[in-house]
Amino acid sequence: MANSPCQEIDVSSKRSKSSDKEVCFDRISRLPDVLIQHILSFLPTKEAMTTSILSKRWLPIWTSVPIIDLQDSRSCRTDSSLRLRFGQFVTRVLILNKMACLDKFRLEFNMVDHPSYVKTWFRDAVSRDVKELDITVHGTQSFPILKLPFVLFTAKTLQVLKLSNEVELHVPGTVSLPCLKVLHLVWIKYRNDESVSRIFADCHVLQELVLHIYVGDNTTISNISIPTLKIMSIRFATGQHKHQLKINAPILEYLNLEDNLGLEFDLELSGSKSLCNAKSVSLHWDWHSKMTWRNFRPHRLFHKLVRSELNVGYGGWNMLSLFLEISYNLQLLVLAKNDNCRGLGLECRWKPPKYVPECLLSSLERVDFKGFEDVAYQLRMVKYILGNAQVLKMMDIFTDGDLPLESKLDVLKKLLMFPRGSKECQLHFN
Amino acid sequence: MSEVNMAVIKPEISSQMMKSYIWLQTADGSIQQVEREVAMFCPMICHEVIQKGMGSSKNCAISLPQRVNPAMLSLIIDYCQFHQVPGHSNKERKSFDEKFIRMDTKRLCELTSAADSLQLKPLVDLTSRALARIIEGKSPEEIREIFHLPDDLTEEEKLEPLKNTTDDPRIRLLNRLYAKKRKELKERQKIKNAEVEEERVDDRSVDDLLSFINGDNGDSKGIKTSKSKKKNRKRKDQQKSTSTNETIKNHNKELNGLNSVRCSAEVGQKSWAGVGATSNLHDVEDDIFASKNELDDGDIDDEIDLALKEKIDREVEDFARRLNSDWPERMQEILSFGHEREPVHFSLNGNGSLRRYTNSE
Repeated sequence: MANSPCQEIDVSSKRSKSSDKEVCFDRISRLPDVLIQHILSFLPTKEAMTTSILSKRWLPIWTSVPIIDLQDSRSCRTDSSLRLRFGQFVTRVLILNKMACLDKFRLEFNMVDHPSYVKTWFRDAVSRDVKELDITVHGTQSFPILKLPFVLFTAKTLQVLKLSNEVELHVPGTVSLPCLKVLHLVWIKYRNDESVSRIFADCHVLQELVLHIYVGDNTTISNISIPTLKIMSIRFATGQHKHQLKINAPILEYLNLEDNLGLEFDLELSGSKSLCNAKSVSLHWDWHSKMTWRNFRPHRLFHKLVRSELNVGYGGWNMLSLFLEISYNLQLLVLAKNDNCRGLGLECRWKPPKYVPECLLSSLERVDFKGFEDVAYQLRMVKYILGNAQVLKMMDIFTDGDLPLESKLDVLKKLLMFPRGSKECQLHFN
Repeated sequence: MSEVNMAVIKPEISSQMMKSYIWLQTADGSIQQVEREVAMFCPMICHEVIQKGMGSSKNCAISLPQRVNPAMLSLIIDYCQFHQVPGHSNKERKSFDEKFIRMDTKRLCELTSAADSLQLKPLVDLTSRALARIIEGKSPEEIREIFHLPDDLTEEEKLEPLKNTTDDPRIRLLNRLYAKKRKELKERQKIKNAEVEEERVDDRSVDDLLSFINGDNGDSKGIKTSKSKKKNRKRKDQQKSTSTNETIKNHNKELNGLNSVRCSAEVGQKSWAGVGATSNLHDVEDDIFASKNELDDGDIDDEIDLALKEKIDREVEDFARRLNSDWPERMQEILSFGHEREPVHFSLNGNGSLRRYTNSE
């Protein structure tokens, strides 16, 4: 990275052209404008702006970068004058940026005391055919929440929409987002349930959905019916005892369900094909005790399931047998003891499957076990898998850092003693 | 990726036994042959082969754009050779990329240029990101040094106030440096033209002074009005100095009871003078950003949380009680309570009035 004179001489001697005899030659400015803009597009806008004082060539370039990525500083949280300055700064950047089409507009800021500013920014971005919007708002005492202007939901070119924190989603009428492929709604508030259902219904090409729901967000999302959805990740932090979730996503490939403190999961899959195409399913639950699957027969599911991750606590281990039984093509299995349950050492009655599952015999190649503890049921699980998996190539076991070294060695000895069904199987222990 | 799909197209002519090659010619005239799968990874070469039928023999070698010299070509071929193999995992590709990109900035620039002319987008992205990482976080001087950029902006163009928020420490430093330079320039101009110079720190009105004293003593960064358009002053490090301000404010209120207007004015002046001497400033932008309610006392109160408020109230009571006993030491104690970073030293003047020194850092 650093240039020493001898390095430069080497380079210039390699080149057969002798047009530049000078040792120190400004190569980067010879790149076409488009390339320099491309380089600057990987920087936050504040950094890109500082290049304007490098030299004459660089003076106007930052204004042609089609990406605006701005973030205010932590001191804005308590200083209203700094927040106002940031608001004015964003307005200036929007004025100075010359591009008629924006690729990305990312903002993370503490709510300024004049929300009309913010609405103007969004209108400007939408009128510039922005493709990706990423807004994170931190509320302040005087303005705890930002109400999104409806103009956002008629953005014809928007492909990616990510909203986080103190933002309120209010969709009073029909939405028109014909290009929206990715939607992330993380810890936001909703005006009512219709807002959510309208968005889901009116996005006709939605492929990726990430939802983080928490208590107090004023909605109960229970029905997700998006025919084009390929990737779905839902995280509940509601503390409710029972989650009812109805999913209709026939071509879903990646499913991730996370929950804290949920005790019961009522998953209904409507439509005969839901989850048939799933390639990866990961479940992150703690304290989970029961999950009911409704309206389908599990053995039809998960034909294409290649990767499965179970990050569970006590009751969740029952899913292991279920998954092993129903996923015929499983190649990678990740087991992890949920962070919230570690160190508590409670027993769990784990029953192995009745018959040795198909995937163990023919497809399972790798198993990762994180948060391994020296408890009976985990040892039983590992023993069962090691013993029956015939094509297993690698089993990776990670223990928590706080186990003392001797007990780690004990565990390792035990593991090494287990008979292995596969000759090539390697055991890694961390 | 379409490049990978292209690479899988089987050649129509040659037999499956022999590997087929594509002939490439760089701008300096040298010709070399490259395996077909590898070469077809580049969209531009792919286009030439398929649309124009070039490259199948030495005579009709594809002439590459001028920006691709033999050294860069060999790098690009290495890149294509690795990535056109479909069997590598994402992790392997990533680690290859990280090793591949370790080269000096000269070659990075050349490689970006060459990859761009061959329309090899993944490599362009890789090198652009690497260059962006080099630029990120460096001062303009450093960047100029690394890339050997000419310093050809006039002083005025450079000193155009950076239109930026100033809570970014790098920008603050820059603005400080440039404001210093501008000061020098202006002074030189002053000598030449004997024009009316712009407002300086010392020219502030009495009202400004008093409100500064009452609200802003703890601000070590200083406040300077540099343009006549400026309406309000800006306060830096609000978070840090709110407790300081509050303590001093209350302290000042107490002092007033002791006919200490003179004293506080003196204290204020001293600290302010000390602050002025450091001459740190960054509110050249203030003519652009007219902030409101700068020194409104109400604002300060809102931003201090209740716990701190109670603590300060207790301190003030304490202080009032001890007013009869050792006054200077007590005051120093209480003031230094609020100043975590700026120990304040007091000493008694000959005539019994207080003199306060600030640390000018």
